[in-house]
Amino acid sequence: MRRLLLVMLAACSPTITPGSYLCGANASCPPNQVCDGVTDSCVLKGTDMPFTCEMGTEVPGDDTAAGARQVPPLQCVSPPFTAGGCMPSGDMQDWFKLQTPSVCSSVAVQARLVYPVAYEKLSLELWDLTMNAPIGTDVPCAQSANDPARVERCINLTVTPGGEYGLVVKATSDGDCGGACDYNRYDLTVQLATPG
Amino acid sequence: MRLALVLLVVPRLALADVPDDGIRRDDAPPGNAPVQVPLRHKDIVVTTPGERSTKNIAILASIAGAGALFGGLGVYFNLDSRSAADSVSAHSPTSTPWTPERQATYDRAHDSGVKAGIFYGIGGALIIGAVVGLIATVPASETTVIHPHITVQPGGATLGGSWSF
Repeated sequence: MRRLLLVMLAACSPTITPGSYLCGANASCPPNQVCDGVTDSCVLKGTDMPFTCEMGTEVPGDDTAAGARQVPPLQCVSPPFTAGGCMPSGDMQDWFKLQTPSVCSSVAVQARLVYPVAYEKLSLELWDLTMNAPIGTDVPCAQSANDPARVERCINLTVTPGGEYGLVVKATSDGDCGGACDYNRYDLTVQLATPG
Repeated sequence: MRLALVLLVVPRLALADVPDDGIRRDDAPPGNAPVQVPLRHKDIVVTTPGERSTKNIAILASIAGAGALFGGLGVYFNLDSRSAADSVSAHSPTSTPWTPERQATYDRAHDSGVKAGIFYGIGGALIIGAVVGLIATVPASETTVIHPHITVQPGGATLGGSWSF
């Protein structure tokens, strides 16, 4: 009983082993720990690595519709296509473009943007490249993995068959640690589906 | 203060209690003055413990009670601190991010730990103070020493005593 009481009254300071937590918003971490830019996890000061983009995720020149990364041709009802992307500091937007088959009676673009909560928040826009105008913006996803470490934003919009569309991932300057973590990496998933 | 009191006169007091001192009472000339029989009995010491005043008891009880109250608060904050610490402590990857809620819990663990230490300190000091006060204000006990004596005289004896305190 006495030992139990001592155990109850002892050890009131939290003990957090480095690597136990992922970085929170604005790269937040427990006291005495910092956000590791490679693993997005909280580690001891001095052992952290700077943020870097994985090979092939940052495409120079994709800041405009003209230099957009091409999404492979999709059928009227397609499997998801996922592209990994990265926006280092100073990169404001990444463009992707896709075509909808003209044989479809009706078609919807379903796009999902997933990125770590730790760094700068990103947004997603759908553009009609023929009209050169935005036609949709991201909303919270109807079906989400509910992963608190990652943000999911979706677009589900009926479009015209035989059209050319662009998806733009933009930096929002929100949650960027006051400019100290104005970067992020993301996964963009696109598929076509029958509107319903 | 010294008092002497004749308690009673016992006719024909049995001499059995009186040690044999070698004096033959029959040898005493009749009509002479009473014979003082030397006694070897020890003095009777009566110690009466002093009693605390109600005010003294109330003050000490109040101090001790306050100490217990602060100690209880210390335990409360200690347990709260431990609960908060347990909820954010982690020794393996949790696959969850550090959030403002977790930071608040972390801060609460620290704050409650500090409060627990403060209340333990105050409570302990009060209880120690009560104990010291208890010792320092012990009322003096009263000691009475009774010196019994017996005076044997023809036809009886006088049992008496004197005591001091």
